[in-house]
Amino acid sequence: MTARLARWSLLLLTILLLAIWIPQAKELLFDDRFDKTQLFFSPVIERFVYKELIGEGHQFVYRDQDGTDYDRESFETLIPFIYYKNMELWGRLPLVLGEHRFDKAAIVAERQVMEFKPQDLSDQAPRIQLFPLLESNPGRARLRFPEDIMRAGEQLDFIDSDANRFDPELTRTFTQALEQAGFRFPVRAAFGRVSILKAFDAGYFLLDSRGSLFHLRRLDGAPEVAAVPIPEGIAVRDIKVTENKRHELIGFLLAEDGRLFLMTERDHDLIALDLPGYDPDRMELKILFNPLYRIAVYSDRETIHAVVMDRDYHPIDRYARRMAMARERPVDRVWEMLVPFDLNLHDPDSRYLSLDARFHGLAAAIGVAASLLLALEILRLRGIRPTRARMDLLLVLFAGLYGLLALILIPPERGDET
Amino acid sequence: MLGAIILKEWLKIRWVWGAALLVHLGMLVYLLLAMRHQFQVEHSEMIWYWAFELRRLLYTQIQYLPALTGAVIAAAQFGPEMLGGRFRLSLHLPVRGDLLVWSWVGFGALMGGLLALLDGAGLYWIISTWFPHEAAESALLTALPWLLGGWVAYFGTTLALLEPSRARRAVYAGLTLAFLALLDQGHGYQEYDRIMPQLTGLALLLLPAVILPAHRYRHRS
Amino acid sequence: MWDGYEAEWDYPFGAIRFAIAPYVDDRGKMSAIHVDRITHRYGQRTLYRDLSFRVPEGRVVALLGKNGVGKTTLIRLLMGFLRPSGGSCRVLGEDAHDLSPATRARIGLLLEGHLTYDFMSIEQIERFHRPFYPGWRRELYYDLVDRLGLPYSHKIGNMSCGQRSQVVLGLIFAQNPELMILDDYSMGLDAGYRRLFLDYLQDYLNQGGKTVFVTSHVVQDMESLVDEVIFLQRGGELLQMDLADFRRDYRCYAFEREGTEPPRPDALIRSVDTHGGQPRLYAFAERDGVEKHLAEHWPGVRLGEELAMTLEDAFIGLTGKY
Repeated sequence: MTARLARWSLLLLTILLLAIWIPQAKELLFDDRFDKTQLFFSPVIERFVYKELIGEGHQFVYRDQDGTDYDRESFETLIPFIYYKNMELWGRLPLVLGEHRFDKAAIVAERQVMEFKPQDLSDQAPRIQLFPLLESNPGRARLRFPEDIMRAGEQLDFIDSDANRFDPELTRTFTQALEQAGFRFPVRAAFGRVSILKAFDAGYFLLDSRGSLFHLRRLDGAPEVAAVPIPEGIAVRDIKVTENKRHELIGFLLAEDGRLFLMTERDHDLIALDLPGYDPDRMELKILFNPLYRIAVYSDRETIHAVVMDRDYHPIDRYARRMAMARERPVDRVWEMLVPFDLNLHDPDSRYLSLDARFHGLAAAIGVAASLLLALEILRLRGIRPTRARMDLLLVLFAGLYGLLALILIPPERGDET
Repeated sequence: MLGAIILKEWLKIRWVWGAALLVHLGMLVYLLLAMRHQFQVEHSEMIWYWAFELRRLLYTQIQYLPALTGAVIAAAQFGPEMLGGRFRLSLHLPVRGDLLVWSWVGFGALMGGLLALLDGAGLYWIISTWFPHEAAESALLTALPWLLGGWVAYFGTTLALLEPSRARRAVYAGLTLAFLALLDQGHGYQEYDRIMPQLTGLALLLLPAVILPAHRYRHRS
Repeated sequence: MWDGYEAEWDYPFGAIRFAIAPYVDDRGKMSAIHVDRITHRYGQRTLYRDLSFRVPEGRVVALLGKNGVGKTTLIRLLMGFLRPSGGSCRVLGEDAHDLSPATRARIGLLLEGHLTYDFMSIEQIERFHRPFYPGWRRELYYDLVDRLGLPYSHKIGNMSCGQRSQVVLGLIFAQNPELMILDDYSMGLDAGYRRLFLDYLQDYLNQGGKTVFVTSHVVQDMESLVDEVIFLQRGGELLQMDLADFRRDYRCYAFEREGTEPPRPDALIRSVDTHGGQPRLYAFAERDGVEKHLAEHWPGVRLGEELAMTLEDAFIGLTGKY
């Protein structure tokens, strides 16, 4: 009895390990260089244009949304704000678009890229909840890390990093400042960008126990707290702070209901983004700024979307296409027929490892049937009647090729068939 | 009777376990010194930045220690049983074979567990000497798959050693390596947090599994 | 008549209740070991085919055979460490392959080469075995090992072959089992210790109801020990008989031949030895019968005098030298 339990434990273990590693081995063998399509909006022809790899090697196409192909240089001239350095090299600056005229300085002044990826979400990456509160007015060119760290909890603790010791003085000062501004402890979440390689420091946004948002900075060593008025009906899920020298926007605010907003730097006003089909948990988003437009480009691993907006973030046009990388490869089709499921260890949208099962549905019936036939043949060769190995066959029925391999590796014991 | 079973297992592993204890203590002392040195040559706030934001693991010295120790304890326990077929002496004892094997691995796992406890406690203490407690707790969570690697290596080596057939031994070794590789996929801290329960469940399957090679040893033809 | 018994043992894992059914052979005699038509193959080679024998309870039975006939393999089959490709082995009434812990406790087993735990000391190995056996006789163990004159902390791994065998046999005597299965007990033992062992074995047998199944290289010792012998030949041929009958009926004769070829083994002549000095032939027959047989089948051969044999001579006469 225990020997049978032992064998079935091993069979189960074997199947799960095979279902994790064999798909990884397949990817290692057949993965290719296909990357995401690069989608832009051309201010020259006022059309969406894209660059896409469609085959092995360097088979790029440079195409607009109507299907017109371009060579590489013509393509780059269609998006001159992106390739402004090439434009300069080719003597095409200043740029004249209709009645507008842009020199290099004007382009550079308006250029900005804001990114928001699933991995930026706080529930998609483990994070030790300790944050350095930088001096926002360093009085010199570079920012530097303070010798203390902030713990946002029942109060706003500060811990001295040299001595690894709690700093009661700083804690009292900052906690009181927050309380005086109407903050209700404990802190529910803290959002900020931990870096000294940024244009300036915008401090942190802290969510209090009631869901109210506050902005905290350390200015000349003292706390500066401001309540951030959030319009009715918006519950904050996440904030990504992106300090930028253009000083227009301070970052993204994602609401619990999935709506995405841009937050202005000065007044913390929220600008709603109208992005049809956008899913923050699965899609990478980029907002490209240029002197004429704001273009939001977002994609999962199948479809890429773009919304072009005017300088006030009003949508002008939108476009979506299924990317070449989403085309089903023959190897994938064969794979789905071969095995009934995969276990994926790495989720590209998360820093956490996962063990997500992806079932292949009816396509796998062929592989399961072939595995069953082979299993019957193996049993026959070992002199075991199929009726005595019903459980083993059931295992192959559910686990297909993995079950068959497990059966080959850990065959029934003599006189111990199920 | 259980006392006698434990006596034999202890006699087999005491030197190896003692040596492992020294190695673990040595590695913890090394980790302590390395950490101290780190804080002497770098500014504390920069090290904290590496650790929290850049997710650099500052305690990987002990990453493979549990797996190595697990394999060594299993070899010390079951190597002598396999030499000259001494396993037959145990199989002749008036105790159910499965209960006997479980007592053995229970003792081995317990002794490995004590070293894992030492590693965990040492790691917590060292990290919390230079970092706030959040970092020490995070280090423990990060080290959990490493400690589980000790369990997997112990049971995998046991499977391979008790197994009479050479081909099957290779199968067990392969499964063990595949499992250990599964526990070595992290780059930063706490990346295993969400799958530790599943991995622990998977590792627990090894507990009933060790009966199979013993059964095959007794019932081979 | 033994009717089997019931008992209850306390294990750390819980009490196990067991009942032992008596196993009676078709002659109404109980068999401690019953091997029934077993076939065993080792790779392509068939070691035995349809091998059958019984070891009756209360008897001392020796399994004799030349090197390589499969004595040790047979003991492995008896203890369930190997599974025969056909037939069955029953030991103390249970399938050898599925011996209950309670039955294993009633069997003292000596593995080939006095296999034991080398990493234990004299004292540790006794302490290890004691709790497993309710009828443990500690004094017998220490009586034997004290004769080694070694400290109790002496490690078995550091002992000579003979010293180690003394420890292992001491453990088996202390176990006081109902059935002893001893694979080549005499290996490494000097003459004095072999004698001592035989004395101990006699004391053990005097308790009554004890069965011993033994293999040994030293055939000579069997003379005073054994009730029955089983001769195992290469290919699995087997001859089992009372030792007394064997000693009485198996005869050795000198012979001379007059130019003709020597006689070959047949239905009556068991074996012929022409190597060495005096040619001999062996048979389970008295002089008259052999002479008549020779006159009929080997007229050129003249029977000489009957030669006295030790058990070893008889064994070699039966199995051949090599």
